[in-house]
Amino acid sequence: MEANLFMFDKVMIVDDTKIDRYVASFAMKKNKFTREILEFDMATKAIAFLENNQHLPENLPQIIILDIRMPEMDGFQFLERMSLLPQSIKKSCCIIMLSSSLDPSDHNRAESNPVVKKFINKPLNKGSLEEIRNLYISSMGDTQESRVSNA
Amino acid sequence: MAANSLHAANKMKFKKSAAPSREKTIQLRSFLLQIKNKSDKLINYFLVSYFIAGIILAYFYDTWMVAAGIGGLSLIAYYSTKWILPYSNLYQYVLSGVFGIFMAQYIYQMHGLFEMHFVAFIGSAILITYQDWKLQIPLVLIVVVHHAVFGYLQYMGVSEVYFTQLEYMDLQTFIIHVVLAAIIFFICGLWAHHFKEYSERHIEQTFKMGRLQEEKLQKEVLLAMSESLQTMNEQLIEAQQMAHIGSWMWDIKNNQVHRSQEFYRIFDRTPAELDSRYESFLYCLHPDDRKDVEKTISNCLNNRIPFTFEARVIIPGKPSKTIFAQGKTIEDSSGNLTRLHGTIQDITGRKTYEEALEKSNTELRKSNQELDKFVYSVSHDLRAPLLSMQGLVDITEEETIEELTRENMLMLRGSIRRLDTFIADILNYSRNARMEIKNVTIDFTEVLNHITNDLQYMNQSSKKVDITTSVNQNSTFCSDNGRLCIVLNNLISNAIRYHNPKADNPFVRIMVNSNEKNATIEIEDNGIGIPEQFHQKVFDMFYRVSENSTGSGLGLYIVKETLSKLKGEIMVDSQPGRGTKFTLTIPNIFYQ
Repeated sequence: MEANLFMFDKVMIVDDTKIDRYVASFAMKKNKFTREILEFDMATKAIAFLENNQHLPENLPQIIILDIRMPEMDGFQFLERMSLLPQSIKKSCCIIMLSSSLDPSDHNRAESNPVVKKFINKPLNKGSLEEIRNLYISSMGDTQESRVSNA
Repeated sequence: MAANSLHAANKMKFKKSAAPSREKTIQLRSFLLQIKNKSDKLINYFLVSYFIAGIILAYFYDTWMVAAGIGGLSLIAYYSTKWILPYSNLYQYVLSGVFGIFMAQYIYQMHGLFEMHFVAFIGSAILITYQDWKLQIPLVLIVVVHHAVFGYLQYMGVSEVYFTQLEYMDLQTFIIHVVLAAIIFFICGLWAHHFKEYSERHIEQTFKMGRLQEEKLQKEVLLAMSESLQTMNEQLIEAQQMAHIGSWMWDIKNNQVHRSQEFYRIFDRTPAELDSRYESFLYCLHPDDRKDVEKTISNCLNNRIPFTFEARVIIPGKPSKTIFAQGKTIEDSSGNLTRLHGTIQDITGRKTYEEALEKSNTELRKSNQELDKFVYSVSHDLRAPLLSMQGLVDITEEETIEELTRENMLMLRGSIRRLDTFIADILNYSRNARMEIKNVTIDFTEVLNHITNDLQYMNQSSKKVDITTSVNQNSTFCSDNGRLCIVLNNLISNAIRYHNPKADNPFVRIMVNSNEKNATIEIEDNGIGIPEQFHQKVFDMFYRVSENSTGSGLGLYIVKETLSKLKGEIMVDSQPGRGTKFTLTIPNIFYQ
């Protein structure tokens, strides 16, 4: 019953910076945040994954940690593409935006998007992971049978 | 206006010349009244003298009764007439008679002393003063009657009658006597008449001269008036030219529009090309504007309210002009709408300028936005690797138990934070300098909660700083939220950063008192403090109190610069080892 030790089953991380993915993965592993980490260095690849697995809920992540500034497709474009996906995916995925941007317009844009649960400043650390967990419990807890409750 | 004044002046002139004879009569009368009053005064002395003379003559033949009786009766007759009929000149005739009676009295008193007959001539001479020949008549009558009656009686030998003492008083002597007397009376009457005529002529002459002078003066005034009117008119034309303002007046009933020179100049048309009908004005306007203008003016006419509008004037072969027109209605004395008058102003230049300004404003706004984007991109690209480094430091710190590595990581973290703060400072500085002021209502409790929450990450050192806030806000407060956050964030993070590690309970106390006029914010700590000699310098750009301080030297400079945009003030009170207190005053825009 190793799975029960983790807060989440799958967490997707979309960030073009290798070090940031490494730091985030490390923090998640260290804090037993998730059983499996889905790492993507490009938003296009992440969207492709979601599209391919839209009918396989067991493959979908509960949390998507999304960088804003990325080449080719940035975080906001990712959100637009995601809004075209079935409602079920959007409902099961909790999106967290992670950025080093100090631009208030980025903050506003992210927080005004209904699918984005939170805007978090880099780097991802123990504190921010805890925040995400609390947020997930409070927002998803009522509507969905959460796997967190097993933990 | 000019025509009206001239017309009024002409009217005035006619009015003056309409009644000169009446005025002359009045002047003559007042002159005669003056003479009469002066003469009456003299008569008083004469009559008294006559009476006294009668008393003196009474010594000769003891005629006391006659002197007092006849003299007294004469005086009574004169003064009573004058008292009863003061406005009639009857008393003057009475006076003339009294002079005759006195003559008769004296002749009697002196028992016919011939020289007493001369008294009649004295009376006749005195009467000249009234400048009325008719006054001689009663005197003459009495003298004639007296001479006839008394002369006859004495001649008949009646005793106690005295007319003359002359023995040779025969018919021949009597005739000479009568002729000479008649000549004297005639001459005195003639003089009186001449004096009167002379006075009249004199008065008429004076009057004529006065009128001539008046006319001359009037002419001068009229000339001066018309000259000043001309100057005013010229000035008006010049002023209209300089201001590019033309004036107009529309006589609605006759559909005649009177327009000033400048009006025609602005419309670039001669009075022949732009006839005086209202419609021809409309025809000059841009077709798209015509309907609106017509509507505006008819609305003005219907509701009798002033109007303004802007419209384009089409000028054949030239670029169109933009005019600004305003006007209002004029009613006659019985409240009927008769005229509409107002001005038009050539605002083509202003319009072009406004459009150019609008264009450059848009460009400026665009370049500002681009610059904003650039600054954020740069700050992001500078921060991104820094925050990656911090992530690595976090991991390494957590994973190692080796003391040296941990210490190094701590220093590395400090450096990273310092650089990060510096980037944030530069960003804030550039934002403050460029961004427009955006005033919103501010809830201080919410703002402070937000800031202190964000600052928790740096408040994780060995000794946690206790942050307390107390807000006393009882009215709506308005200011620029972004700038207020920059100021408070800087001051509170400073207070946390420079806490005193030796203190038992490091704290930051934030107190807000906000009213309708302003907000007073106190940020007090028991940190390391600032020596007094640096109090003035801490707000300088890139000034750092000591080499040990980890700041960029921009924080308080930004605080001061940002506050000045909010029209606020800041004061510092600090003692090394005791702590620091910053007091801010920020005006409340809501009530201004």
